[in-house]
Amino acid sequence: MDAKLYANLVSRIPLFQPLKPEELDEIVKFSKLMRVQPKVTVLKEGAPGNAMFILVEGKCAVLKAIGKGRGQTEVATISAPSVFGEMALIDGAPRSATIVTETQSVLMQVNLNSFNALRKAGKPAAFKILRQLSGTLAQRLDEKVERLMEFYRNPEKNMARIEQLFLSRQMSQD
Amino acid sequence: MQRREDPLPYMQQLPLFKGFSPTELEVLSTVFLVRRLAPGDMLFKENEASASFAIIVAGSLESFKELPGGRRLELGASGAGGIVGQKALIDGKKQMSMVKALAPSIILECNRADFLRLFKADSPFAYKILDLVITDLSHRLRSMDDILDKMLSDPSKTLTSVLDALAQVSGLLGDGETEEQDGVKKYHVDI
Repeated sequence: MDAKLYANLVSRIPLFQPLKPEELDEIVKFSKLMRVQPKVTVLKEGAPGNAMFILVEGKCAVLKAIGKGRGQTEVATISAPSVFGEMALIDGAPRSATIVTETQSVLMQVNLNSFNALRKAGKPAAFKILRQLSGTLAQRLDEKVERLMEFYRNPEKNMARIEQLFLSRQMSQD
Repeated sequence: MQRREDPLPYMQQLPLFKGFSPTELEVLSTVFLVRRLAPGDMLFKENEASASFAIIVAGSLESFKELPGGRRLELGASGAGGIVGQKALIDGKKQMSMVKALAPSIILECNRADFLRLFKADSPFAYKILDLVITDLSHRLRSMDDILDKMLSDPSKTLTSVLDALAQVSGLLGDGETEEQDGVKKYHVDI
């Protein structure tokens, strides 16, 4: 792997910081490097997650649907170097947002099947990445349990909130 | 001074330790502490630092969160082969629930520092444990999404019905119901 590219990735992407250079090389080895024009959809909201992407150069917009047939709204921008779609490496769950390139970009696609092969072979690279991702998983679970706890602590108070959330959801689906 | 009980015979009972050589098992036995818990013994407390995790050899442990007014939200139980205290493996942040013995139990406890040492040494056992924990976390996250989704699907139900539905959807992973026991009102939500 190009030393400068490695240094850039490792120093600025937390997901890769525990990896040794040769371990990052293993990930890069089966990745697909792509040069992408602006306004290209990299991920689509709701599609199955089968790869993680590393944005090596460029900028992407993160879009979410605002209702059936009502289009999308931009909720964030991602700049290089960064990672997105990484949770697909754990469970292949549907994508939670659409990602579209805003500028000419360079992306590395890390395929789930290839990552699982590393995982099955017991490669340190895979497990170091998984350990980093487990923190995100654990945090999300804690947040959701806490949401449930809130309803149990004040069920009467939170009924109004449940109804409000239901109405918001109904409106977004209309 | 009490002699430390040898964890090796207990490790040999568990599927988690299958596939490791006698030498590897000897090395692993140095990081585990055998502990015996009586029913009601608290293993982990909510909000304390996650300093260790445990593998259950025998018996069962329950996980729950305390609610105001002497109520509690039960999050499930684990038996032989189960792992509790996963936070110690992941980020060492505070425990998010209480873990208590339901029955006389034997556990193998490993502290976070020892696990990290194994992990940094690229131990296949550390990877195996992490693999199990991540798979478990992923399933529990999906179950929670289902539970929260069902809550929002029909708020026209009465408050009692919502709570019953919450208890019922815990049947995603086990039987769920509300009950009162020894003056403590319990809600079961298996995740």
